[in-house]
Amino acid sequence: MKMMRSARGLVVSAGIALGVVVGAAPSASASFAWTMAKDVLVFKDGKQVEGTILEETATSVRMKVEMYGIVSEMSYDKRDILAIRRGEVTDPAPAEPTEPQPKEPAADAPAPVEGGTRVYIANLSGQFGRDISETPIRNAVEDAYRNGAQVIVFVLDSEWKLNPTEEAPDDVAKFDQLFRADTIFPILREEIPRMFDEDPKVVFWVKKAMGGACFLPLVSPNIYFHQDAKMGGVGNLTTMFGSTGDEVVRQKQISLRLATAKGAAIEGGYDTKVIEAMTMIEKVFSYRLEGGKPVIEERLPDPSLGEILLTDDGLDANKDTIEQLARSQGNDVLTLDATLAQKLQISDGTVNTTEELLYALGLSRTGVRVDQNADKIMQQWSDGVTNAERRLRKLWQDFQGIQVQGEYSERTRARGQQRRTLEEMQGILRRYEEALVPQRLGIPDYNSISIMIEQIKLQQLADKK
Amino acid sequence: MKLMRRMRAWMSALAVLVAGVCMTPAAGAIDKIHLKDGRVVEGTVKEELDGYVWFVTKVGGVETEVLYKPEQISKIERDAGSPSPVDPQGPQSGDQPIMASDSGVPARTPRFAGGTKAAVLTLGERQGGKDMVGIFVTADSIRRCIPLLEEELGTDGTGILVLRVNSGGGALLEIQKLSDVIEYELKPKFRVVAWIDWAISAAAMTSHAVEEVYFTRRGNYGACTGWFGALQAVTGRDLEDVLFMMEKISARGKHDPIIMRAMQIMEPLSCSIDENGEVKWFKSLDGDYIVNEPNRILTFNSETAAKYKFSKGTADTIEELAQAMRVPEINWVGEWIDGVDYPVCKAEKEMRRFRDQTKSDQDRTNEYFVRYQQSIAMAQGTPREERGKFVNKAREALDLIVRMVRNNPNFHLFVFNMATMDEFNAFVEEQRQLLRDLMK
Repeated sequence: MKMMRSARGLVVSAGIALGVVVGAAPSASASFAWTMAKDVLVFKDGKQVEGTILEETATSVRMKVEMYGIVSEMSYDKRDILAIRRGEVTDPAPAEPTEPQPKEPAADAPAPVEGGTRVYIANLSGQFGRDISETPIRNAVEDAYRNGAQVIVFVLDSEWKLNPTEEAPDDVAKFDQLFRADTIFPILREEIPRMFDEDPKVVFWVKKAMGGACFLPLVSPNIYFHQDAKMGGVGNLTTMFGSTGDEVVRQKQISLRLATAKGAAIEGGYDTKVIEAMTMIEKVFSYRLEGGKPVIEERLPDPSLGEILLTDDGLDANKDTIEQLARSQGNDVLTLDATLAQKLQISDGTVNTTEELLYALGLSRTGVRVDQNADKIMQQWSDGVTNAERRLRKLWQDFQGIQVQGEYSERTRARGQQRRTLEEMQGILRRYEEALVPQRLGIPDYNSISIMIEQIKLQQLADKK
Repeated sequence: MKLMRRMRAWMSALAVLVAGVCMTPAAGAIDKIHLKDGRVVEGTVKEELDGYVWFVTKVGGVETEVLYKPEQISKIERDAGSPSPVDPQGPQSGDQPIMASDSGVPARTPRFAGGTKAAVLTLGERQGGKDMVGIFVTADSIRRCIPLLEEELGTDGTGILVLRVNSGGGALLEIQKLSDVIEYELKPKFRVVAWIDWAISAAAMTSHAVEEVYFTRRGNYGACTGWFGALQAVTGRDLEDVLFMMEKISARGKHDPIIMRAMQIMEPLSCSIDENGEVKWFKSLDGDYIVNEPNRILTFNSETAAKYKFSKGTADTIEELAQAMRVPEINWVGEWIDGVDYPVCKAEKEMRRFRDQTKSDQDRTNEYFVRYQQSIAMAQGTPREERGKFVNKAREALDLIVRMVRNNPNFHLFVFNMATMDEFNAFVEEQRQLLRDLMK
């Protein structure tokens, strides 16, 4: 995103290091994934076709199929199709842009439930940016649409760990995961309104929303907390750059990040001072309640107004002690719990069970659950990522073990094997691009693999019998 | 499909436009809007049009104007003495014309003119990583779109060109070129408005040439400090040059230059707003409202931009934008395509093609070079009679490189570090000669 002086271009850019966050841009994660395709169409005459579904309408399915090494796109009439099966690693592929067509429930979608308010509950759990990611959320939303959901509840319970076995405390901070949330926002902001004929009510039920996950619920005006919920873990905005570079540039970086986070809060209708309190360690905020409504002021509390300290400046005697931190009582930056979130009107209420949530939403009598596939969708994605990581490591190991030697035909065969291995790696990387960091797996990235394939082609061209 | 429903709703709204608008109630009135999502918002109804309500609220002491759509509103409770609740779905009574002067927006387009033509042209596409100014937002790519815009909007100045900005910034050297295209090639032909989704740094500096700025609710605009390397600031003469450039560009956009200055360097900014709504800016903390603290860099969000009247309004959809622009009869040119919330006009289609090709080339640049260099190396190490296949490979790779630069001339600078196209063309000619020589 940034260019150096050496390119004769000074930079005035965000310069956001997306690589620091989890994964890269989500674009076209599935549309080029035909090498991994496992979707199967089962026809009424017994025939089966494997490939990758590119587009599915009420009447037809367009699929990318490979026959004898030739890739082509085929359209099939749904009247001829008995069933559509999607492989374990294969989630429904997003359609390539086409002419707009009225969306109708897919042929294999369950019939709408008669009567009651249709409620779809999707559990967003696991590692933010990996398990909680745009593709499974988008798939869940599409499933909610197919099931005629009128209320979509996202139960947010993101992992917050120092390592695989150790929970991270509240004062660990990962503000820049905001830019990972930024790739999920469009689903909530744009895709849901675009998809549904009548906007469903989108609700977040927060169990744990730390790091980048804390920004997700903010774009929704309907948030509930579990009694043990935590929302925060982004208190390093003004300290994350340390002493690198010049102060004015650090301030620029802080400014654009803060504005981006505030943009999410504005969308949900929340006071942007809450964002400052959560992210800026040096800022002091207090609040009071006026007619039951919170008023947040950037100052120490005024006792005459009954104000209560939200966050102090974190300096000297005000610095959170280890005793406070161990007890989640620090106030250098704001971490919301259920009580405070409700007082600040971030949370509409505290609920501990799904039944309580439905009651709070006024749906305890009329709500009809239509989320039979939700957990499966989320689990399939997580399993898919795990399998993809395992498979990528294996493929890379295999590639490194391929010896190009012997007779010309053997060398040719070996190079062919190298290419196929690399191409399979590219297929997986494309498909799970948003959740994979190749460097962490010890494998080359997509573009580096392209170069390797190019080199193999040239070596083959140079080889002689 | 939702888009079609929106269009139908919008067309229905147009059909009853003759009803006009209700005027702003007295200042200080406390109205309540009950929203269908359960929220109740307190504030003041500033204006209404066919069920759309411009509502002024205070959030954390910041006054913000929010537009609510009819379908969002359950009911409106008005201050004592005001008319009874309005059915948000129905036409409004009243025959006053829309007042264009109160927010400084251009006068309303005459009714029954067949609809004012409008087109959306996107500058940057953050989600796809296609947003860098100088690479994906370029003067050249906009210039290429102008004939298409002329075809669709006409050139008499009535057509509205909405520049939808979604970029995290980029190269400083492109800003002047972009500003010149906007000032000299777009503004004389179209009513140019900027619709800000994410205009950071060079993207904000580009947008600054536009007078009429709208934000999405999530939008932000600013953080324009020039830097390089490990967060090192542009300083000295280079900085002065940029500050002066932005003073001139501020004048083009009719923005007080100290606003942009507070976005570039750590200077305080405050303002006062008089009873007529006029904003006076201060390069100090002397104004009634602190807009930027002394040791910070300014970035507006939709609330602050509206409060301090930097933006003319806040809109998330083209329907809301048309309302905010006070253009009730609008004809958005282009085709609806899946996944896009506005019609894609021919110019926009070309812009998308340009970005896609640029992205593909950017991702594959190293591949092109490796293919070229290794093909040359292999050709050089091969007897003359067997070189053909490698030279052909090299020629293919060179053609890809040429095509890449033809699509995006700025690559000659950013990829090859060559100041001009002539320099790049000379390089290409040298390479072609090298390939010919290899075959001799």
